[in-house]
Amino acid sequence: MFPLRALPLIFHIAHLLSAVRYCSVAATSSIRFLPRLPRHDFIWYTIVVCEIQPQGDYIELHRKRYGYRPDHFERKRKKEARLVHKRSETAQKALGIKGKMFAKKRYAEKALMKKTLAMHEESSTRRKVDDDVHEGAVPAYLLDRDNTTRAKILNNTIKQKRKEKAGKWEVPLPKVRPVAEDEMFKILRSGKRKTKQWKRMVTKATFVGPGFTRKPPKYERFIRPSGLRFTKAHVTHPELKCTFNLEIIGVKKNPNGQMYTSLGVLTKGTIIEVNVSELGLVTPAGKVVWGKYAQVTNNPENDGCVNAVLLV
Amino acid sequence: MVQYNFKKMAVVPNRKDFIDIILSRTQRQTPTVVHKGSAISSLRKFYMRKVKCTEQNFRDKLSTIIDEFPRLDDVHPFYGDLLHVLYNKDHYKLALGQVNTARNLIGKISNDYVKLLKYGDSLYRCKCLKVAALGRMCTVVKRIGPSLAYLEQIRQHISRLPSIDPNIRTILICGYPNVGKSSFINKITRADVDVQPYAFTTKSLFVGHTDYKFLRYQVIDTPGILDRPFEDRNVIEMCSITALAHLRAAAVLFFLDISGSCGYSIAQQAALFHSIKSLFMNKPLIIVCNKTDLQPLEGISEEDMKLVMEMKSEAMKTVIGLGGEATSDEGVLLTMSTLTEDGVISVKNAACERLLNQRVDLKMKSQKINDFVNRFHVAMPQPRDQKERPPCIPQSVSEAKAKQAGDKEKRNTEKDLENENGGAGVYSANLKKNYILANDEWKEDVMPEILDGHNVYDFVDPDIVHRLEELKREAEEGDDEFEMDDMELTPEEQKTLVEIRKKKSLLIQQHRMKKSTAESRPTVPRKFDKDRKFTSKRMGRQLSDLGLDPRMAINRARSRSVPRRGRKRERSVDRGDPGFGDAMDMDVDTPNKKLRMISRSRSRSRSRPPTEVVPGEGFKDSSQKSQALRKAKKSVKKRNKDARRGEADRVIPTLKPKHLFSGKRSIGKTQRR
Repeated sequence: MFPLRALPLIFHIAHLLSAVRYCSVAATSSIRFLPRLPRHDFIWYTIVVCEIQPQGDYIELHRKRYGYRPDHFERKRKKEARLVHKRSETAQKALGIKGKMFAKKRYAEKALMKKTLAMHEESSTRRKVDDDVHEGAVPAYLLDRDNTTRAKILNNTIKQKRKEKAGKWEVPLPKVRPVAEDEMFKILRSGKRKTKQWKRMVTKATFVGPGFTRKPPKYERFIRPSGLRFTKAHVTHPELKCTFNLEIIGVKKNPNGQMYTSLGVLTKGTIIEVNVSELGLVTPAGKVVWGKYAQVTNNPENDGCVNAVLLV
Repeated sequence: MVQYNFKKMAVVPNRKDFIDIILSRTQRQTPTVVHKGSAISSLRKFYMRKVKCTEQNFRDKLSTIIDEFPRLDDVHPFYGDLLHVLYNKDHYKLALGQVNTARNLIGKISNDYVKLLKYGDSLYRCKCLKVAALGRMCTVVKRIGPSLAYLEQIRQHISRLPSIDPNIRTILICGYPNVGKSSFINKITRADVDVQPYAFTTKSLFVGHTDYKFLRYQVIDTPGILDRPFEDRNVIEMCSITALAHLRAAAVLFFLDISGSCGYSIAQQAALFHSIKSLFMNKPLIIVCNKTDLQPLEGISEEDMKLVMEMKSEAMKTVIGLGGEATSDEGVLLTMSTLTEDGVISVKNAACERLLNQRVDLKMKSQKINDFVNRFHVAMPQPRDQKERPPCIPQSVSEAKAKQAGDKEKRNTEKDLENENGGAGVYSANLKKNYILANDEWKEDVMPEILDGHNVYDFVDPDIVHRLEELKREAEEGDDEFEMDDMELTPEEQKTLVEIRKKKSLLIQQHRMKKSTAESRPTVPRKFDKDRKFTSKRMGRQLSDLGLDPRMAINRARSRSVPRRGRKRERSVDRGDPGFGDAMDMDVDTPNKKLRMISRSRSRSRSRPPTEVVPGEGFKDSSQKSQALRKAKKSVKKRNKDARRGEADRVIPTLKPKHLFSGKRSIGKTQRR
């Protein structure tokens, strides 16, 4: 009942009742009568143990009343001085994962300390302000001219259209590792004797449209397991440096081949179309954009999620 | 009864420690070694187990947090409000809500990744998925870091709250700051509250316990309250207000500093009284004028006196409200001085008394009381006439009682004796005087321990006389029996009796032997006659004992007994047997043996008995040879050869052992594999 502090007080009191009366204790349940000592003719020795629970800021109160113990600060100083050695000892003795973790922690501390030291040094030495001009900075007399930028926008849109026609984009991941067919598909055996081997199961993450219904098993050559289907992607806007969880609309192109595109396989480097209506992007012409392309940047089957970069 | 104890809540670790704890626990609780070459299903299982275990650990830890922190809606409203005042309900609920959300999120993540792991087709992929799963769970916990830190602070503070039981008898002390509330609680309980000569020394509620009429009372010291609008009151004052508002089983002591040394005039204090008097509803209220050592109540100015009287009349209203009488104004306005301890105990007693009365009244008014009050009846008989009817006690009884009482008083203790005879150190107690002996004169006898070089005690046997008597009695009884036999039986009868006794004892002996070795001996069927009990010789002896002629019986038995060896069929009759024809005609019961002897005498020479000594064998005489033969026979005899397989040993073996007839058949036969 009283976990924090139990203060056993022992009284030798002539009379039992008076004992209870004089030490009005914290709780009756906390009084325990220990076995009586041998009865010496007419005096009863009774031992009453009281437990008192602390309340409020009892530690501060005690310090206020009685102060610290005389060697408190000495001990504290020594403890602090010893701490370095203690830590070094643990660093030397720790084994396995604990050792690794400890080393990592120490390294981080050390690096931080060096960084702060360097920073302080830097601030003490006077340096000139950088004179490199920021991008897009314009002298004051040119501030009211913005026709060039507009021209640039037009130019950009035309370029993008051309590119789209050609089917080529400048993408953040221009080259990806080719995925072999036997890595992509798992052969399923069918037939009563399991001798037929025409069925394939996709082992990578896939996107399957919302209205998809499986074919009857007889005609279903490719199985896309429902556990590996994804409908949402974490899309990073490279300029905003922000990530959004957006819905996938479709797979535009899988670099490994047309078949994978049509199956909707999501591998690293796949271009997907995502629904950006939540972002509220607007075309230069003022229309709301809702579908935009993005490139997958991770291996979704290994990470359990689809990460992508928006192609701007 | 709900116990309000917030001191046992588990520590809420900060986010970094939280993650470390969980991950290291996962590391310890799950297997750590897996091989690339093992079956994919076992690989999947290995990593699934890691993910599930981590999720379970996270869930357990977060659940303990959610369960242990009190729910503000579920606890007693006093605690609910107090926690709201101290920690802000919205913030508190938000933090706990975040923890709950994190728990759900982690569960969802675990589900997703376990599902994905089912499709893992390599160790690398499974491992990647496990790493991702654990990473995402840790991220979730990292996000609730601030909430965890906040909850930890609350836990530390909450554990220092006094454990107030909201339903028990309570005395609540309230008033302006610095009017002597804490000094009062220090006087009547063992609560060690800090007392300082400045306002707001007490910043939170403090609890002490006192007792009155063998009942325990909880005394609560509250921080001072200032007279200002409710909205302006700070956290410290709100603690007192909460206590006043919600502790319904309380008597309120409103402290009034009549000397004004607390820095507030009586008028100000009266204003406070009137502004919070709605909180005193339905509670016994006592106005305590403190610090009478500085300023007695009679000495205050008339206006102040008027204010005090006004407060008193208000307090009287509560008395009336509780069903008291308007005239009894005692115990409503009391004076005391905590410095000189004047009237402190009377204030306590008055408060306790009124609280007790109020509670008893309430209980009497409640519905429940009817259930058992109607079972009580205290008879109060009215005297029907003027006649005195004292209890009738016989004179002898009263005399005996008086005598007993007198005796009791007179009893001399050792202590008295000691005091009479020169006190401690001089008087030495006589240890022998209380000995219980057959003769009182022996008490003071000197008893040597060693006598003539012997320890006396070795020769002391307290029972010896008793035992001797017993022995004697036994011997006499035995003699009687024997004499009776001798006297009354004829010699023949005596002989029979001896026989009977002998046989009886023999049977008993045999039975005992059998019993003692029964467990280690095999059961041998009777027909094998292991102990050679059923021989014809013996039968003959027994029959002749009974006075019968045994010859015929023996013959019959012999003819029937199984021949030991040879003799499968009767030998063909010798041609030259002269007595053959006669033999055929014989109609008497001639023993077969005779016939055989006749026939054999011709067919072969009589064989030597085995015990006959043949020169060269090296035996001294036939008895030695027979002894040797017996020994040789015994040595080759198998132990328990007769305990052959019997009915009890029959067993039906497993005819179709399952392991040979079920499952896939690998190499081998149906019989053995």
